[in-house]
Amino acid sequence: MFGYPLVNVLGACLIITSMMVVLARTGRAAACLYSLQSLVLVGVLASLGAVTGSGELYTWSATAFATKVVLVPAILLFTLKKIGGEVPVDLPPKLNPMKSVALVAVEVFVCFVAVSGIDLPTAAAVKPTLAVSLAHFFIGLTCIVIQRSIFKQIFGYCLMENGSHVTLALLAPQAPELVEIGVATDAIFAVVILAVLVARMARYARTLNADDLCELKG
Amino acid sequence: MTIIIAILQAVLLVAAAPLASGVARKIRAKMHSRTGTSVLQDYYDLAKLWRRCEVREGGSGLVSRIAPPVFLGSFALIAAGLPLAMQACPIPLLGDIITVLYLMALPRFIFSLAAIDSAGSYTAIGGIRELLVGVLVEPSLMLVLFVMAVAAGSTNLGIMTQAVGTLTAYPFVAVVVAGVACAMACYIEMGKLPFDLAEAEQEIQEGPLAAYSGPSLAMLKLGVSVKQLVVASLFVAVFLPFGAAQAPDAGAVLIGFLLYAVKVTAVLLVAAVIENSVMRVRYKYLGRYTWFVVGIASLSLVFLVIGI
Amino acid sequence: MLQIILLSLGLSCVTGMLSLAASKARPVSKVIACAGGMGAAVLSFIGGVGALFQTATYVSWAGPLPFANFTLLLNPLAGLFIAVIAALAFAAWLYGLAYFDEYYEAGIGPIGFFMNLFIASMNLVILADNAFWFLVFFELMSLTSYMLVIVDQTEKSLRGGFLYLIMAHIGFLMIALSFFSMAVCAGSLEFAAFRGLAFVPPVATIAFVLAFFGFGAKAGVVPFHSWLPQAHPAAPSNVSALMSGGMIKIGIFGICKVCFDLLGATGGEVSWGVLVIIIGAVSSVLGVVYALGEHDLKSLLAYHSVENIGIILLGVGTGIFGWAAGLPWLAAIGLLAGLYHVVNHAMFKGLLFLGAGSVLHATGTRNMEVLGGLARVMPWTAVCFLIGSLAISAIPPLNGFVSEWFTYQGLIGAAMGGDVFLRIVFAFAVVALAITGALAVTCFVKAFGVTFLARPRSKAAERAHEAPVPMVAAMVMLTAACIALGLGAAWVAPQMSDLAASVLAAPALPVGEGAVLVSLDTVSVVSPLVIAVLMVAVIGGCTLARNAANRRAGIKDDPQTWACGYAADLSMETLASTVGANVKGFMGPLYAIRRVVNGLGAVLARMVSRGLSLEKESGVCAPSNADPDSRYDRDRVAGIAPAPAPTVPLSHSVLSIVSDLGAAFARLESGDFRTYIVYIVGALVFFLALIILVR
Repeated sequence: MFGYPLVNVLGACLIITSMMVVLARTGRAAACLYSLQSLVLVGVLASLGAVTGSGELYTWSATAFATKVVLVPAILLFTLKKIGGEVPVDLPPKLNPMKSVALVAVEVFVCFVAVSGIDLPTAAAVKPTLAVSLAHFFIGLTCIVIQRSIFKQIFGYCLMENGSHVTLALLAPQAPELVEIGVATDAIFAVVILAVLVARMARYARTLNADDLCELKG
Repeated sequence: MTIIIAILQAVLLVAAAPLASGVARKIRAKMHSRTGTSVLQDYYDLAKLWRRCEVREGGSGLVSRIAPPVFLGSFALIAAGLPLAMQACPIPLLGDIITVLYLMALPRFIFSLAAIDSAGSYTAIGGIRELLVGVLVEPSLMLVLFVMAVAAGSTNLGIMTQAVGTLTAYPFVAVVVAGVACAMACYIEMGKLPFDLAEAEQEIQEGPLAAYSGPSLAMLKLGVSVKQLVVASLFVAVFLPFGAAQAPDAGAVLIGFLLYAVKVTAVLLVAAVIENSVMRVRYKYLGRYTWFVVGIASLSLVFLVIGI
Repeated sequence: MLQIILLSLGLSCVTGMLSLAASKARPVSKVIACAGGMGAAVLSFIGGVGALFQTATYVSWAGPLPFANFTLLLNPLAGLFIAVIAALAFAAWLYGLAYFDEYYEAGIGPIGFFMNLFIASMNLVILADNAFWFLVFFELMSLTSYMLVIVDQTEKSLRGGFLYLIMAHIGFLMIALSFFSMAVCAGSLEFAAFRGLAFVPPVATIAFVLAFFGFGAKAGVVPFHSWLPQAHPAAPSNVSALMSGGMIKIGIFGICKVCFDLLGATGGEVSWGVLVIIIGAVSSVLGVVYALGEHDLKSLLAYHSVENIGIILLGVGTGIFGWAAGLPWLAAIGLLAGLYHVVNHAMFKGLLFLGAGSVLHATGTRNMEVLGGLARVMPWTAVCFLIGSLAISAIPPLNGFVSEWFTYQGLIGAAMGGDVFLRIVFAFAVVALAITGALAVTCFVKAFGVTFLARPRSKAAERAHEAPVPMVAAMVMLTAACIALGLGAAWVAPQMSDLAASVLAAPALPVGEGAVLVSLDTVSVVSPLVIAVLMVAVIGGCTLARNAANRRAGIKDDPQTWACGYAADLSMETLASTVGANVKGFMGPLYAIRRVVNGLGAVLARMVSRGLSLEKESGVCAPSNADPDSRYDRDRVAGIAPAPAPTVPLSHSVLSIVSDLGAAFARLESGDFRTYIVYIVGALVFFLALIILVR
């Protein structure tokens, strides 16, 4: 069961883990699940590298391991510690779990339909995974839209990043390392900036609820 | 030969059901830091009830009389048809998923009808809740079995077992996600905490069981335990068939029985630990949990359709 | 065979006229009507069953007008429907020997006349092979059944009858348009001409869709179902049995005839099958969900007819899909499932309506809330109703289970070979059928339990008595048919398979071996007979063991029910509204759309009656708030009251329109950044899709 079926199976695990990130109740659980999801992502990149025989993808997976599995969750857990206990971080999302799961399923299905109309030679055998990575973009958006706590919305942004990362790897496996470095730094810096913003908002506005922040309630 | 296996299965499940509930009770006691009763306590209870005089309430008629035998008999019949020790149904006539699901509807029908028959309000509430749990779980169970049928190429449980056991069921992740959804749906169907709404002891005073006494109560309690074991066995048979016999020769079948016992014990242990860590769900929030399971089952359908 | 059926038609007409002539001498009129009706039913049953095994018979006589030749065609499909209607008619007439005693004041002569004419017109609709005469007899069928619906002359029945008449004519209009569109291409009104011609696809699709919705309005398919729960309860119970078991099947017969017979040379489109399946699935779920909210026994059974028509359409839709996609085995099993369910539904729905009629006869009310405890005083009726409830809930080994088993096998078999979208459609249909089954169990536990079990809740229920012998005999006859169709399925199913093969002009699918039913494509077997034997053995064994233990230990009868320290009294019993309230709690959205779904019929009725200036006060289409029974079910909508039209100056109306539009648009600007994200993404997706489509 090696080769392209392995990539597809790992793509399905990617959906499952990102759904768990969206549904996670506490910030800590979400960070750990995000780390798990990035591990699966590393697996996807590594198996793609094995299948297409491109050495760049191995370096990509190594850097992705360093940045997404280790660094980003560490930054987020550190931010959680800085926010401390007096501001509520874990707010319930706007949609109940069943509707979220149903929405994710619909998004995956729609992306699959969209992808099946595209004919690219590099991605013929991994169409399902391409659909999965495209769906990640929408799953990340779903996470941003339905979560009340802005801390959890960072995870939505990270999911979108993951999705675009996998799409790039699927469509252009021979891209040079410079591209990878660019993507990784983009991810790290964006997360750092978002984390700093969230921490300062927690300190000054004393709330992380997006509805309250929209109306500048403190 | 397969007839003997079928009869053996039915007898074994009926005989072992009180042991399973006794073990669950013992685990609950240990988790509460008590000694608890012995694991054979349910056998003693059934024997004691069997010798008691039966009290028939005013107003209850034929339906209340036939409810306990129908309940126990239907589940024993379903047990005879499941592919437990072999990767094929001992009686293929009883092994179709539609047959099994609708055979499970018969005891639910008669049980709830008898609950309304007894003219007490608590029993009737329990009966109505039993019906509604069935209504809410049925879509997810049917969707899961639909995914498995399309993945395995047949609606016969034995062929599904064989497809999963030899790893030939085609969209692999769809089968795994369907297994997760089936585990959740079977847990709700078993009626263990947090979903034991039909006999919510503290809330509605044992529900429909309050109308029975003596041998009828013994038969109904045994039937409820057999139901839990049969539903757990359905999950084990379809999604964990590894080790069951490929051909009906005596040695392989015996090993298959032993491995099945180990697997179902593991499943029941996990169920017992979960059951004793939570409290009963509020009745009006039951819909959230069941629709969540439907969501996961529809995710497995999407995976099946995509071909992952 | 055709001569036998024509003989029975003649006998029906003669009986009808004789019973009308003798209407002053009421018992004589009743006996003439019933005896003649039973004789006619026996003759047409023999004719119908005989036609199942023969090839088609075709006769044509010159008619009064050049395009209106009196042409009749008796093929196996027609034979099945004639046999089903004849069996139900026999039971209805036998029942009527005792039941019509209540209708002496309403006029037994006209009832006998119209009922005989109704049955004769149904048979003629099935036999007619010319579009003109088909429409004439269709109209005759609607009119005679309308007369039977309003026989009580109460306000509710008049209102129900009026709605029924309007919906029947809407259906008639659509069917007429469909036939005329085919006739324009074929040049004549003869069905033989339609059969020989291959229509162009747009014309064929228009003809099919019009015919589907037209016959669907007659069959009671959502959204044209709102007349069923108002018309069927108003008619006498044996007429309701005949209408619900027989007349709505004419709708199914029409769909099958138009699709497979008249458009046979054209071939079909896969989308027709998908349309039928989706509407069937929605119909079945909505029908049973609304049945759960009813406390009138006959309205509940009428909504269940909507549900079962949905299940039949699932089978027929699979058949149409398989036929259009070139999969003959799939078409065969789908059509087999649909036609088998037609027979089964006629049997158990007829039985249930006759049971409801016995309850009404014994207690004088159909309201389940005030009944109870009837099983003790009406044991035969109770047992027959219980077996009917088990059959309609598709419990093995009865007949409902067999036809639903075939329906499932057809749907799952279709999904195995289908592509992405089709698998989703069939998964939706399978889940809808599963929900329907579970809800039907709930509904019939409620219907049987609240009516027959527990203790009597009113004087009417206490004073009940067992139904007279003819009524019990009719119910027992239908019960025996239900059990026989279930246990003997392995012998009936091959006949149905041959029938399906003859309709589709395809080789027959082997579905039975010995006592076992086989589904080759999904590799599965079942045997109701063996299951029945095993159930009797196992359950019987348990019962004997328990009874032996009882004999040893003794039994004590306690007249008092223990209710946790209270003595149970009547106010503690379960009512129909208890079950309904529980279900509404979980299935709220489906009830919320009932206003829309049922409202179509009411809106049309209001438009027509306004157009004809029929109602000056709040006549036919007023809401039923004045109806004392409706206080139990506040969500039931019988109609929409016509709103008064105030005179308003033009400037006011322009201003109000503008401000309403502005308010609607203001809702788009929610102030929440997340909705703006959704708008941006939506626009992005829209433009990307546009690019792909244009490319």
